[in-house]
Amino acid sequence: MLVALGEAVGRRAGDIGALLLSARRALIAGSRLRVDLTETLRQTDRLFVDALPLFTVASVAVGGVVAMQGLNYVARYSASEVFGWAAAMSAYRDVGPLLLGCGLAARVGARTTAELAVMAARDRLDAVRALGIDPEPAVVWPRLVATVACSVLFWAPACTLVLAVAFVVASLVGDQRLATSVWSVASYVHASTLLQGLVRMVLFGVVVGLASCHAGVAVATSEDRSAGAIGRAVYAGAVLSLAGVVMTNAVLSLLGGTG
Amino acid sequence: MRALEAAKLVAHGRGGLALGPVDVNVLPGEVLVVVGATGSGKSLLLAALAGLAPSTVAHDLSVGMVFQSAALDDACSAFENVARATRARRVPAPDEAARTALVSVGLGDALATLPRQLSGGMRRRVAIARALAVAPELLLLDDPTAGLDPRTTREVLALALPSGPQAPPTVIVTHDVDEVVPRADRVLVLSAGRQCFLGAASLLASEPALACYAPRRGTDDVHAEAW
Amino acid sequence: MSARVASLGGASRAALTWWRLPPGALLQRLDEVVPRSVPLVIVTVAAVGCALADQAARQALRLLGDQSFIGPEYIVLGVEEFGPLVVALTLSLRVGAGFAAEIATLQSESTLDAMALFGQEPARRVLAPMGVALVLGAVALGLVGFVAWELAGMATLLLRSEVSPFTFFHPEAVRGAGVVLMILKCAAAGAIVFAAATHAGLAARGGAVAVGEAATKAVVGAVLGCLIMSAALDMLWFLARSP
Repeated sequence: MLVALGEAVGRRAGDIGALLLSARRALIAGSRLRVDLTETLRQTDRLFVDALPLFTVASVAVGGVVAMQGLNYVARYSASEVFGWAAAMSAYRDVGPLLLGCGLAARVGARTTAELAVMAARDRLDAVRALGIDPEPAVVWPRLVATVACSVLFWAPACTLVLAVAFVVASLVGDQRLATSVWSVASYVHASTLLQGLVRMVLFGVVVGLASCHAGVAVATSEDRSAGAIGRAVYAGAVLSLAGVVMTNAVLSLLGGTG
Repeated sequence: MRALEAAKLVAHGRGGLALGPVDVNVLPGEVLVVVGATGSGKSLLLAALAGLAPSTVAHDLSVGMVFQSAALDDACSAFENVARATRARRVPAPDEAARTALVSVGLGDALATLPRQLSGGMRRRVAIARALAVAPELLLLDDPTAGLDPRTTREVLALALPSGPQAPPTVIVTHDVDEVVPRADRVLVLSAGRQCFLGAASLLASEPALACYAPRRGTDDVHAEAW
Repeated sequence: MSARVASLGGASRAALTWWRLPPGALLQRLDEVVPRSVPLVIVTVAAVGCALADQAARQALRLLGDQSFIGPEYIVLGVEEFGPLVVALTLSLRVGAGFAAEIATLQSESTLDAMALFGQEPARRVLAPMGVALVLGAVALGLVGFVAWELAGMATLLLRSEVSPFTFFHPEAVRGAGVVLMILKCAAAGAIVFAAATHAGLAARGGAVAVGEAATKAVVGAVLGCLIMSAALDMLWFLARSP
């Protein structure tokens, strides 16, 4: 039991070390503009379009969750005038970004890991290197930047959809008037709340991008390049992304203000 | 031993692939080789004969099959892969039958080894042992020599193709015309899901369109080889 | 498509008679789902709980000047809402991807076909134990997650506000109906992750690329399914309690 625990801790420590090294290399590459911009735009477009259906449906579902969560308190404390404010906090800063971060890990992160893992297993990264091109700025970093870009691009529309659905559901299922909800948002929600939500999404994008790229590229250094290894890479990337997103969320919540 | 009788066979595969009508009648001890271009329906024919694809096949022979990818469970040992099949098929003394089959294909030392730790040729041997250990009444082999070197190819074929009148009817799909066709009693050529030739291998060379499936060496050469 | 649905149906039927499943296979799957997910469940649930407890305490202090009432609300939120949801998302990402990759590997290498041909009933031996382990494991992890949630709340309050952690300790707030809702949500999440993993895994054709795609599809399907399930059950729960 202790040995297994020690091994697990060792593996996670190794993952975190490798992630930090990847982050350092990505930062250096970014600061020297050593990232293929055309490829970055192409990947952003592809990942955004690919994830759009998931984010739309997920936003509707999260909106339902936020509405029901708020309605319970409205019913219990007769606090209909703060429902809009609480729902907006949830949608733009707390629950919305957290669940969208999980969605980002599921769709964009898993896809990026799978693609890079297949490229690594099929020696395509080595083939790129053989052409005299460094695969990191040409293949890996564009996916990392594209993940962050998707995260930012999705934040405003997805969180607004979450809030809109929450308001509609609350007015249909509970007795929460739409006008009261909108008034509550206008009266109580500050710009700093929105900024905190945006910062969260940027950091979630960085975490998911780093974790998924790291898990995918790690297949290149593994002896096992079978189909099973690709599946394990996707799994490892998803787990690392999820843990990273919730930990980042916790740290930001503890550091952040009350909005 | 009973014969395989599947006249006017029609089958449907994934992605709209259709096969037939094809006549597949094989006597006990007889080897029918199926050749054709990629996507011509060879693997679909075997899947239909094995009952794994929707088809008009209605035989009740017990089937042993060697899949192209060996199709072994990497989570359990070579012995367990074979023994699970013998137990499920209710072969008498199933564990002993599995052990004997693995020893007969030269894997007596690798009983406890996981399939993923074995070479491609050895994995193929485990698959052959599994197919033979269940004492099948029909043996199906899907490209059993794909990706193997010439020496291993011959070893695998020697193990997988039983001979004599007590051997089950055998259908083998292959791209390795030179090694496999000389060992066949008859050859079936498929093209786009249709049967375009069925007969002795020696007749292939006389058909200009099918000459590419005629082996460059004869049966005598193959049988004269020292293993 | 129909073959996939048939396989999923066969596995579900076999899972309903779980006592007839091979005990070894079931125990192995339970081991994969429960003990190996416990660290991730604890980390994710505790991290979410920590963030929520901190925000709740600060908002309560800022707006009302009183933190005493948030303990019962926090515990109810852990039982009925965020505990099961975070466990569901964790299972989707951790176990869903792993099971889908395994099924996809077995499918693309024809191992499931070989098992069926040699009479080994892959639906009963491989798929159904995964389903049963996911449903039972999700419920067990829901309980583990709830403990982590409560401890995270207590620890956060103690460290951040220097308020007695027992402000968050209100076992009387846990209602029987709330526990039933939690068990229902966790069990449904297990079933959704199983359906998503099996459906995506059985569709895999053609090696490594297909396995990667299957794992991705399974994660997406499971996350989406769990979010929709959570929202739908919340609505039914709210309507059922409304006068």
